[in-house]
Amino acid sequence: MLVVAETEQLPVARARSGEPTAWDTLFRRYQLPLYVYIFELVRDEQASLDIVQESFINAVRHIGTLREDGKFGSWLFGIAHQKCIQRWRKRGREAAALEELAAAPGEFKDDPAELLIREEQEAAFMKLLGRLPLAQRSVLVLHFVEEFPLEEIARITGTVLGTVKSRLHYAKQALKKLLEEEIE
Amino acid sequence: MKTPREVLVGQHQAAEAKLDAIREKVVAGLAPDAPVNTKQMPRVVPRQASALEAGWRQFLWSLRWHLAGLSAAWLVVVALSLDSTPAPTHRAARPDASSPRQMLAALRENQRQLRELTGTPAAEPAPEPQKPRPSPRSQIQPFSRASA
Repeated sequence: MLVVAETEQLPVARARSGEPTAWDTLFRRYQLPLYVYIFELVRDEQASLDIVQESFINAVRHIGTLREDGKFGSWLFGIAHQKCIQRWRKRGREAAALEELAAAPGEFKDDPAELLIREEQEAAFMKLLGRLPLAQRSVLVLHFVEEFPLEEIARITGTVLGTVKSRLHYAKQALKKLLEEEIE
Repeated sequence: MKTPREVLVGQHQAAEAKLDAIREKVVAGLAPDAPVNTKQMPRVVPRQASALEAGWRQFLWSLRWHLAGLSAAWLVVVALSLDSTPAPTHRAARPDASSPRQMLAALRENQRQLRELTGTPAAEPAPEPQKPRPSPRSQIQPFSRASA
């Protein structure tokens, strides 16, 4: 089981000096969560793999811009997020990709146990996740997959904290509602 | 019961082999003996290089006002040198140049005024020079026979 980035001792300092084994460790740690996040945004296997590779290459090239070693995970996800936006722009879908939620920020209460999924619900969960608006899906997957703090999700997605809170709140509500409807 | 994270990661577990291949490829590009591929090979900037770069930046930043002043002075010099360069002169045909007929009329008018002033009677106008008229063809001596 993967653990949250901030509790780990990752060899970021050694990676800065260009040590291949350090990069291997870092990439091994993040490759699957990163792929999950990218896939949930672009919904295309080959494009997701391409973006993972580009993100890795960019991470190696621009490691000098990382200020805090402990934030490597969110920094890497931020690179991937930008790559996804670039891809949408190329396809002329920025209007959908960059949509802003009109709703005002709601009160957000984080409870990891509030959304537990039974085995028979898994397929429905994945399907319903895909039905969420892109902006909400992005925040929700970052929250689920890496349990990033809200401030870091805001940095990754290039939005303000209030927007992240709002999106996460409405995304969770929408997902719960959809799951309940699916059960009924 | 599973958490959403376990469900999400579990759904994409099949991509792990492809991700391993990508990771190995990128990391192989970092090795010192890796083949040179400018498009795919990542470029690692070592810390020493970045420190040197930072030193240069700091040095140039400290001289920013001096450099800006020098640049401005050079711009002024260039502007002045461009300004003093003689522009190519294109002389257009002057439209006020009088025609011979106008000049002749002006000369006649001038003569008339002069005669009025001096009281000299008007002189007979000079007969116009006769243009040589060509002789009739019958009077033309055939040159070749005459000379022969």
